[in-house]
Amino acid sequence: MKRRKTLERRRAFTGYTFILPWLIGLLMFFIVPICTSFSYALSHVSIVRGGVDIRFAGLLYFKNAFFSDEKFLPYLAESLKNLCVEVPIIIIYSLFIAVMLNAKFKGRGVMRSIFFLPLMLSSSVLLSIINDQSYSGSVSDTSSVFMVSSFSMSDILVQAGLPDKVVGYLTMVIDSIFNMTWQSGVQIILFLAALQSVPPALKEAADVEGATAWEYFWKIIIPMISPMILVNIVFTIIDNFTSYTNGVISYITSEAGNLHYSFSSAMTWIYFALISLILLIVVGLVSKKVFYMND
Amino acid sequence: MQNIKEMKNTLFNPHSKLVAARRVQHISMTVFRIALFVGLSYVILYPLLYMVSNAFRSDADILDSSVIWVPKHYVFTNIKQAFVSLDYSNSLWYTFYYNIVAAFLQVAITAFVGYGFARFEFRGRGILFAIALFTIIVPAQTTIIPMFINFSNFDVLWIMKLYRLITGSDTVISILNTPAAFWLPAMFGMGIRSGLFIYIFRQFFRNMPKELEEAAMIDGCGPYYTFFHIMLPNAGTILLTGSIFSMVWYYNDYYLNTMFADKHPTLTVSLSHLSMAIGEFVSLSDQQLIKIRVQAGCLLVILPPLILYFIVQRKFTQGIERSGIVG
Repeated sequence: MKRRKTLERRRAFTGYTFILPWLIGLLMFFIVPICTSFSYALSHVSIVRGGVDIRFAGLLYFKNAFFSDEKFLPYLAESLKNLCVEVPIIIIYSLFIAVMLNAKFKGRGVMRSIFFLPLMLSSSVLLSIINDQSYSGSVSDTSSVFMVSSFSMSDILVQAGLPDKVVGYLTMVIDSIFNMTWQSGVQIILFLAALQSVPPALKEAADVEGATAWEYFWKIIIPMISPMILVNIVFTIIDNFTSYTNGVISYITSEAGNLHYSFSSAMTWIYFALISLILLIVVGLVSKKVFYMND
Repeated sequence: MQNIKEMKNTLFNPHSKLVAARRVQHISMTVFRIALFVGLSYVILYPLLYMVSNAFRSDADILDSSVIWVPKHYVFTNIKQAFVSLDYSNSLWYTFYYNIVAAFLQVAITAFVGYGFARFEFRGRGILFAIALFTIIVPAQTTIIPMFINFSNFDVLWIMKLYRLITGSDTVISILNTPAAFWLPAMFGMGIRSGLFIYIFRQFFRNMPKELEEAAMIDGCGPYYTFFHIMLPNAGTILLTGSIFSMVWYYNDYYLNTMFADKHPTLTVSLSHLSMAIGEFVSLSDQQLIKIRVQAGCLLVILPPLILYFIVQRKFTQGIERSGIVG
């Protein structure tokens, strides 16, 4: 009995040595900077030789962000709006594509290579160049393919008597097809991996019981991959919020570039609190529906 | 008896309605799939085709309205000028020296840490792992200013401060614009999305059969020997997949690279300045001329990852499917 205890202890010690590099990094490059950043948000900061000069300012910069700054709240509202629009679209789209790519057909390998391609190339710089130049420019008329289709479609839909908001949403979806296909690489991969892990025996059982493909999808596939849906929603929210193209993030960055360290830190903390709150709510709501096979 | 015969007839008779319906369903599904995939492939490949088409056209072709996709005169001037304005060879070197090395360091260390989380029971493991995941959520902007200030006046555990106090000198070590600014965080598991890598490796090692390690232990291998000689060689695909993700994320990163190495721009950073830098060849007021050169620059910048992707593509797509990310 005693011998076993020492073995356990030794294993625990070895475990700590394995995570030791990360613990050091966590302290040096995460905990210390994050506390410093919080202290910056609460004080006046100016750079002097050999370090920084800090004088306590209380909640001044937080107040500024909410009450006297003109840009912060609109950016915040816009990024929340984008989040509500984009997350459902990206989740549904990537699930749809993953299901299609999971079926057996000729040329599947080629299709997969094409769909993973954006993952390799999508840097924010490249994406913004592509968006600016090939989609709104006018070197040749081919570049307006997507614009034209969504314009004429919105006309048709308005004629058909759909409410304006629905039409607006639909045209936005069409216009964002490009960004969607280029931003959902990771999500497609995660869903594909989840789909492959569904045991084939379940499919056989469903066939024997006479389930249609539709029922099989909703009653078996969706619950089986629901943990991954949660992971994907969280990933998409984080990706959306922390990407360089996000309005708030670029505002924070430019303020830091103007040496307004305190204000920029205060804004990141507000923003960060908001992200955490949203993630908590979403995870709380979604995880109730998640089904775990092994439990 | 009669019923069974009927059923057999309907099932095996190719002219029965059921089979016909199946066939119609199958064909319509195939048509739908082809239409969808062709359309989406077009969306994905369109920017690439556009780059190629623009990069090789001559200035005369821009004004020629009969040229839409295929240029009439193929020239290399755009590529050459973009190459010079990007300072391509230097940028490529910095990308490699700063980013790619950091990417490999990050994968090596997160695999090590991930194994620690996967296989050892120790106090506080749950909460520490939760913190590892939490680091992904925190946007880089929260920590970057303190890190920037710390790097410009680098100090570990107040050693430099103490040194200055004792010697009275005001030496300041700055590791900005040196590889250390990228290597150090990566080496200690705090690189770009390190938390995600720790998560992935932990899931992978957790799904490995325990018997392997038990056998190794009985044969007298210590835990480190077991990790390096038994677990790592079996983790080939996930290491490859992880390395590619890590490399790509470092390569495409703009924010860290501008903050920590503004004097030594990497390719992605150079590309963001290209539309100004190209001014050494063409007048900055002519948008069209700039445009085809920027497209040529884009082509040059995506070339290295593209080549890499073609080399490892098969293994990569297999790897992500079997990576055990799902756990």
